[in-house]
Amino acid sequence: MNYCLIFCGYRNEIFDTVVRLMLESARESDYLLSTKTQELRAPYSSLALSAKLVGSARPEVLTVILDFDHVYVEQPVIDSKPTVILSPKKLGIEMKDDSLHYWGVAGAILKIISDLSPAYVTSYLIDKDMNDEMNLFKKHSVTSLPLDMQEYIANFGL
Amino acid sequence: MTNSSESLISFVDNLAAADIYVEDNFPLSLRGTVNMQTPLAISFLLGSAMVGNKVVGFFHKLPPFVADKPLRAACLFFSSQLPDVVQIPLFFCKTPEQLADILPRAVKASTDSGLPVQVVLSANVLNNYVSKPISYDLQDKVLPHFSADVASWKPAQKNEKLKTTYTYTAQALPPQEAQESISFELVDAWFPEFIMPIRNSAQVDQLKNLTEVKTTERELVFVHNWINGLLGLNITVSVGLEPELALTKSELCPGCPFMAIYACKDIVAYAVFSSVCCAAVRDIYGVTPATYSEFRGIVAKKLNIQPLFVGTASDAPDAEQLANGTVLILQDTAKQLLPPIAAINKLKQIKNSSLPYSCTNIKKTSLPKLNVKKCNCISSTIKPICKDNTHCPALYEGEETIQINKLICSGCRVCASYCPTKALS
Repeated sequence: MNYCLIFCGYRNEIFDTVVRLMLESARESDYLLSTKTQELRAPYSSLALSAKLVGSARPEVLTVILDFDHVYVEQPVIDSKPTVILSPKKLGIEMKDDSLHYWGVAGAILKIISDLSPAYVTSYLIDKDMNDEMNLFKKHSVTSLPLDMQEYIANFGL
Repeated sequence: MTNSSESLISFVDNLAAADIYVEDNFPLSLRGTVNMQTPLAISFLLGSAMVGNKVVGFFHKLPPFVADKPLRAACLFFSSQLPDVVQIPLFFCKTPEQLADILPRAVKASTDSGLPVQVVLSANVLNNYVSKPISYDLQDKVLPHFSADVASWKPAQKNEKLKTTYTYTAQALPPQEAQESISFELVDAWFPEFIMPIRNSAQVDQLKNLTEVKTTERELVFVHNWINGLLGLNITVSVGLEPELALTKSELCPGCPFMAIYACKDIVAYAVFSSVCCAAVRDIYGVTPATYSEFRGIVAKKLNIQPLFVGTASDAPDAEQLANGTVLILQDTAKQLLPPIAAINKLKQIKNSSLPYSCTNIKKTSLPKLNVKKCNCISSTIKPICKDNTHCPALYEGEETIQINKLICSGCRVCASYCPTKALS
């Protein structure tokens, strides 16, 4: 299966960490990666990074938008294609100052890309002794996605 | 997994540059050693390179300048935007993978030719991730892409070393259909890797069969000036490509002085010009970029709308020259030219004055208080006015109320001025 992951957020430090870990996980899971970003408009401006995960020769691509800080602007060009948006609001995750919600959103992606291994992220969190982050990541990697999202993904034929 | 901006920083470290200039708000966490306004910084860097110091400058867009004296060491000017015209040798780095190849070549080209060399970096190069760390070998990298040709390159300088000509010969020719879409912004479109400020016969041969070239709106001026001006071809250059999608909302920095300026009710009566390099400010408020000198020209003629200039103290001229027009100065140095305002939220009307800080030295004060009972925009399913009007990243939507991110809030309290229920104070 092929995916286009679009990461959006403005909390630069945690964004950088989560994106690195998720891309490395995808690489470890034998997905062929190509990434691109948009221009950073200001030091605190939000950044979008899109990563194409090529896992099969089939033409279907599912776009998954990881909108960590509710900064994604709806665009017909993207929304007209099969798209799932994962955001704290949609997943029922409370946003906090310490950016813990990033780990919850990142965990939810494992429910969509089932062959993406969580091992790389969990070993990083254990290494750094980040227990709260680990709990949230694990919780959302096993919690069911909202029903409408589940239906949408089921119809897409994953 | 390496972030390409880390690779760039390690390149600058490896180069051991004596002087580094970083323009305000350049999207790279690199500290400069030269602190002055951009045109002066360019002269400073050129002067330093003339006496044999390696120098590096990072600019949003390189302004026009004259480099008429030979340099004794490498002088690299990085920019995140294309210039309007080709004034010095230009390298274009479109993807992070190209960095390891192009940067040593740019250093060598500058050292050999005695000229400053510009390297234009795409958004991908500045923010992207690559799986292998990029390593630079500045000592051993040779230049397979250059060949000497004395006939076609005659620089103005009377320096024997500069009579060597460099023409680009080894770049693979793209297919004909790819040439018809020329774009630096779009990853999939074709763009040359190197341009000299002379008519390059190899590039003329590459493009001469074309009748029309498509590019993006932002690149139109550069592509037109390069093909029709520098190369002397007669090709129609038009806008036909869509730029990369701007996917996310623009956010300002917490405590950005422009938030306070635009919170003033009488700002609507002004056309705002600014020398502050910030794409987010331009996007959100439509501020026109201008220098102090340009603003003096603008106010020389009476306009239908009042002009307002927002600049920094470090690049401000003397107080006497500020007499014309309305000017707000952002204090980034101790130089006090206009009556100061104690706190940024005390700016109640637009008049000549200086604000307590600039975007490079935002002061942190006590945080605003949120009265949860009064904060009802989100619970009434109305868009929070404080967040929408300030574009402040320190505000975010909680479950029922707005939340203040205590880690990044600067305490400017501009958000409080917008709150209709006085929940923020």
